[in-house]
Amino acid sequence: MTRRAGEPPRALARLLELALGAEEAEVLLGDLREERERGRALGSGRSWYWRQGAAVLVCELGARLRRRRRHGGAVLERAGRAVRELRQTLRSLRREPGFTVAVTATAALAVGSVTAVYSVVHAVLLAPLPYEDSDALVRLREIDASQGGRRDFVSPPNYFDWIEATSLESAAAWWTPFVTLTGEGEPERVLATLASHELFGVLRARPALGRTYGPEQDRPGGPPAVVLSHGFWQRRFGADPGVLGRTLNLDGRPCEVVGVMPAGFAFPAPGVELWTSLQLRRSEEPTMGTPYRGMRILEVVARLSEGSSDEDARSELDAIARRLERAYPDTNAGWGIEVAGLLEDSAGSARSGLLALLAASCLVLMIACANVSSLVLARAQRRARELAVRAALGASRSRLLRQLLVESALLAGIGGLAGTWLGLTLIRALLAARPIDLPRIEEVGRDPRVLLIGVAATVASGILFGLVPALRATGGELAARLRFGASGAWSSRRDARARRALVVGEVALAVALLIGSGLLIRSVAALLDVDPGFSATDVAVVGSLDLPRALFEDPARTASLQQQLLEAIEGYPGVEAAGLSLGIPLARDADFFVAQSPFELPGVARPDAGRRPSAPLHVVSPGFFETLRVPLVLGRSFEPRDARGRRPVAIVNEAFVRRHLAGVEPIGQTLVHELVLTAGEEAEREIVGVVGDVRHFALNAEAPPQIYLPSLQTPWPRMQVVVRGSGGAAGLGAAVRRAMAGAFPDVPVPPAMSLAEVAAQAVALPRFRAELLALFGALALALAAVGLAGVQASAVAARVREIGVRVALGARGTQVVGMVVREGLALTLAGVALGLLGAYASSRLLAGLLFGVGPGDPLTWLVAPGLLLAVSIAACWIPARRAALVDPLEAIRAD
Amino acid sequence: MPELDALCYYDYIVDLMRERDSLGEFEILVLLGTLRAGEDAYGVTIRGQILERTGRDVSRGAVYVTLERLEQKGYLESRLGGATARRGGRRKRLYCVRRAGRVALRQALDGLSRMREGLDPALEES
Repeated sequence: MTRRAGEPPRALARLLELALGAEEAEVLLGDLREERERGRALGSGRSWYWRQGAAVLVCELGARLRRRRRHGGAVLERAGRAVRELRQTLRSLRREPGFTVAVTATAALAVGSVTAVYSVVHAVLLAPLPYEDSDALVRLREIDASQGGRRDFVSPPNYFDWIEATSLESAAAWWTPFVTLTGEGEPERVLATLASHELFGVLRARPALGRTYGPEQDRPGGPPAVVLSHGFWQRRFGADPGVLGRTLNLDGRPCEVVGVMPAGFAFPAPGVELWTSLQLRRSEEPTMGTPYRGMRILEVVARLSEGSSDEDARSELDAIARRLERAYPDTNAGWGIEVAGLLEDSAGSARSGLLALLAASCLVLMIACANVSSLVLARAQRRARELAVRAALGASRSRLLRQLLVESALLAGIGGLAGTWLGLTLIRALLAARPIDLPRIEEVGRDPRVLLIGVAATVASGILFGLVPALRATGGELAARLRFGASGAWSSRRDARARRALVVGEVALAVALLIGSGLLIRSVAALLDVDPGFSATDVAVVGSLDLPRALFEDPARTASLQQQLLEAIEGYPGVEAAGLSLGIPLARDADFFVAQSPFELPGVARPDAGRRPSAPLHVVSPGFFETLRVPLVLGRSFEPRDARGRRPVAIVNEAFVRRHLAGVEPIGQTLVHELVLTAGEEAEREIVGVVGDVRHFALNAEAPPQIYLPSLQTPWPRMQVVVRGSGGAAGLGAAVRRAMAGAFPDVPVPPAMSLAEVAAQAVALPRFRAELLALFGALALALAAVGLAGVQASAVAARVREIGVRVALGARGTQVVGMVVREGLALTLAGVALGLLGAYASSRLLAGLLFGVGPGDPLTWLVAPGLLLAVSIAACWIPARRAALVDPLEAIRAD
Repeated sequence: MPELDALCYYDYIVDLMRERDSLGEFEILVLLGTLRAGEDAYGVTIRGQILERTGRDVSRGAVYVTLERLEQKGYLESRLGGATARRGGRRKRLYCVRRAGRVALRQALDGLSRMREGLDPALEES
């Protein structure tokens, strides 16, 4: 190996490289080499290099060590300073407990409201559905343009025509009935989804165990299969993997268990226990008078194909709908197709209400921030001289700013933490105590991402209420502050102006919020005032009771068994009346058997020659109207004598008479309805009675014309029992259970519910909305009042000397009080005026949520500002009293 | 007088000290050496200048460490310069005095010369 003379030893070069890095080693070795060349160096080459290198290395490493120690010292010192700063902040906050508690509590309330509402919004509206690529999922429905775009289910032949659309990758049809499970242990009534095999592909859902079913098991006549939910598999089969291959009898249909879905899969809604083959036929003979294409019974979910938008699907399906209209005018004329994203669809009508609540909670947050900002500003004003002295002694602006911001951050942090916890706890407690019927509501507060909104709200509030006062307090007027002192008029005037502006803003927001919540409260009151047309007290509901399917074939026997059952129930002590009905008014499953059934009234001239009239068909037993105390207006109620083989009869409601029988005697009219529900049933009936209107679907919708058929003439094996009497829902339910055990030991009996509770569910959502909004309104009112009182109190404090002079010159106490209150009132009036403008602009947004009141409801528009004025007078009273008690001598002598 | 805490004074004093951090004697030597070496100021030439003018063969390591410190204080800036055959093809680190360095140096020297004013007799006596 060649080695040039005079070169430094390689080992040294390596060592220096290691110690100093390649670049510095290169520089050093170059310098050494050069010095040697210049002939300054003495001694032998190698040892000289080593000595010099070692000396430099020692120096260098020593310096580095010193630097590190110094640097480490700086870090420690900085940490120590931060701890000292924090401790100092805590100490100064502890010295003013009133301020600290007021600020953290206000921040906690505001952050808590936002977190609480957002957790609901997140769970219901925002959180993606638990399906792969859930954005591509859409719900398809039929809409009846001739009835104002009424949405309806989908008929099987239409479904088969729709799925040919290329913008849809696949589409699944389903419906979700209760089925009776027999054969394995106790018979049980379970919620099942009868779904076409495409369902699992559309949702991209894979089973946890076994497989899902395919076209083979979904083919009409094929061997039906069933897939179990995870919960049902655990509950009923003890999580036994051997359940695969077993056969379950569902409504008497033997189905092979092929798979178990993973926990958490619950389509279309929680509570579904199993999914089984739908085995849909493409065409079928008309049943009971209705062509197959007119039987709108299915729900449809579809997945958009790759690259297609819902707009594409909409226009393609529109074209298909128009083609079907031309091809099948009888059943499809006027019918279109609705395409809605599955997520938006599942939130449904709850959306606008929740967004209004979220907006309201953000308003509360803003009011709270304004309030806290004003408090912090007032405190900075009190500390103006301290800050000024510190600035004069050399504390930099950034240092003072930092200390004030540390304070705000600390306060916001404590408040935000408490608020987030408070909000989530309260909303869960509220929902547990008063369940509301919203999709995915049970997910509220479960998603940790919701905490982010708490953090965001905290940070936002910290900046909002901390920054402005801090900048003002450390602004260029510090020197002036020092001269004028803390109570000097000059230093506080600008701050006071800022605080007054904040109060005006607070009052404005509070007025807007109060008007909004007032309108919703009035809506709920109007809703609760609505007479549903029946009495729910002391009534229990048990349903549905599914008599064996075999009875479908034998209506006469069904009728007599049901009559016996009713008589047995009525025989129990405490039972006043009992009846059967297909659907319970205001319940979730309030549907009639047939939503719209065409009919004719041969004895009455039809005013509109165009469309045939139609009305819901409702099947009820004798005793139903008596049990629900639905008033009988004319004629008679159903009686046991209205049996099969006797004269066919019907009862209509008052709305029906108003619409279709105006000006004629309703009793005795002949009604011919097109739909025949049970075999051998007559379609021509005599109207024997008129009953009062019952709001069947919702309190906020007028009762439509309705037709009631007697269950003894049109017996249906699936009915709900209503019982009136003493003993509460449990006692009445026990009577039904005992009667059922005697007549049909194999039929499962679901637990009884009180009809009052069922009906209360119908107003649960609007009530929840109004209650939360009222809470926010009250919060806003309280915050605005506190803010106003605070501003007036410090205004009085700043003007003690002036007030003292006035008193000395002969002003009376009442005059001083009047002055302070007048000033407070001026601020309130300015805020109210602004707030009314804001409320006017935003009340239109609420219009969709209102019932029974308009957005311009005069009572609300008078009471809300009036309330604020009254509260603000009260809020100004305390500082005003203090002003009146100012001792002129003290005031002038002070300072 | 409103309350004023110890912390406030502490800050004040620390800030004072930091601002009055003046140049040490060795730093003055190195800065002057750098100025003297002109365009070609690097370890060897700076040390050479000091040796030539003062006769002090200062420690090589001390020069390097001081150059580094002065650079960190913002009084010097450095760049890697060209390699020469004499250095065995290795690059050198060239230094240049920044404005702040010149100001600090002038202040230090002014201070020294003002301190010296009128003391020549006393110095000669000893």
